[in-house]
Amino acid sequence: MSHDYKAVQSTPFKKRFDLWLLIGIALYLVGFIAVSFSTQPAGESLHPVQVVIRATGTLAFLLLTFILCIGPLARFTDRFKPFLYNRRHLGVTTFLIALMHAALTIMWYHGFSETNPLVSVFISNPRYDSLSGFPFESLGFVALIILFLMAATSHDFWNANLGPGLWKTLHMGVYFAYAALVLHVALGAIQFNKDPIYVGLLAASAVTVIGLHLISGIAGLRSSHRDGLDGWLKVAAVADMEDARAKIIRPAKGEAIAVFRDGEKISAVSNVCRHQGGPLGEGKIVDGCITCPWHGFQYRMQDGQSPPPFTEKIATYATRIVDGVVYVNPEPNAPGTPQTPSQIGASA
Amino acid sequence: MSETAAETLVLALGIYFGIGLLVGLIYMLGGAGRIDPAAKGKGLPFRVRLLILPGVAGLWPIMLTKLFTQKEPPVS
Repeated sequence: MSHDYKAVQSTPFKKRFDLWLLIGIALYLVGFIAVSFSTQPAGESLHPVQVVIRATGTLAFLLLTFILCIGPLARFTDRFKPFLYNRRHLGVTTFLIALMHAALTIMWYHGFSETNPLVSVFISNPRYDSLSGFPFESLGFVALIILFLMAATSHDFWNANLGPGLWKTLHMGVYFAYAALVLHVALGAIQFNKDPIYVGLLAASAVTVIGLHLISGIAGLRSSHRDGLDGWLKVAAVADMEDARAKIIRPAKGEAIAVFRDGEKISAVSNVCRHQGGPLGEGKIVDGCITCPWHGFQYRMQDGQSPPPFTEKIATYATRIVDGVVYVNPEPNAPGTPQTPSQIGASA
Repeated sequence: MSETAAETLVLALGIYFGIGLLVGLIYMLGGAGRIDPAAKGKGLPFRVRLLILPGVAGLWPIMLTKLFTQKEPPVS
């Protein structure tokens, strides 16, 4: 959907979201610092910079863990969809906090010698052949570079100019970054501070991310539609289809299909928005157009084309209603192909 | 990692991002509009030009190639 680029596509909801995010971050940092000093063992003297390094490190790790859990959680409950639609702000915020953690660490632990601080990061611990003594700093560095590339390419300009495929591939790097961060913490902070809280948080975070993705993947496979009528896939009974909303069908092959009801009409289109691959089936019909929940890109129900002057097109699918049940043909029409909607109440 | 290897790595990163900043400046000063009609002139406000600078600095080999080879405007 061609348009002038804006620095931030802001809505009142996004503004409130960002405000609460900032308040949450501030509360975490203040709380962490307060608890660290109040529970400091006798004889140990923590410097405020060290505490802020720990606070920002744990916060960035927990935020990234949460970001990775949003996708699977949003498949099970609508409560997480606001987070899903605002993941971009969460991601950039996470990178900035991780950057603060890295900058403070380099300054505090490597900034007071004659060696270049960045060089010092790589040579201060040369035990690359050891597991428990592995220089965990390099793992954090790799993760930070990936988070930087993701944050730096989070603007719409990048999705449009790298292309959705390359953009998505680049942003899937977050899983590699997360694995590097788990090792960064396991081989770093936890080796020096075996506090059960840290160990437990790390283990719980990693297990939660892996577990939720596994459960979500299995649920997705189970919901792959193979039953139907003459090769058409069963969607739902007409009575179970909410007006202006969709049911998402996942064929054994190909893209997911969003089957919408608009009053007495049933139409089906690809579930994948051309903008950033957003889930169209989780959106709704606004002014007669299917509206992506992520950024509001719109497509006409009858032909999958964005309303003029925009030119984006998505695939359409044939639908039919038999004995009060909606079916969809899993074979897509070419993007932008007109497809007559099924009429509720008409004979099949 | 030896000190020489670490110095070489840091120098290489510095050169990489230094070139990237130069390519980023080219993008800020009109290169973006060359590959994306929606980013021409007022279509890409100054704040957005600043926002895309770090990304070009990080991915400059791809973006430099696009500057010289991309004929078709992007999809969106």
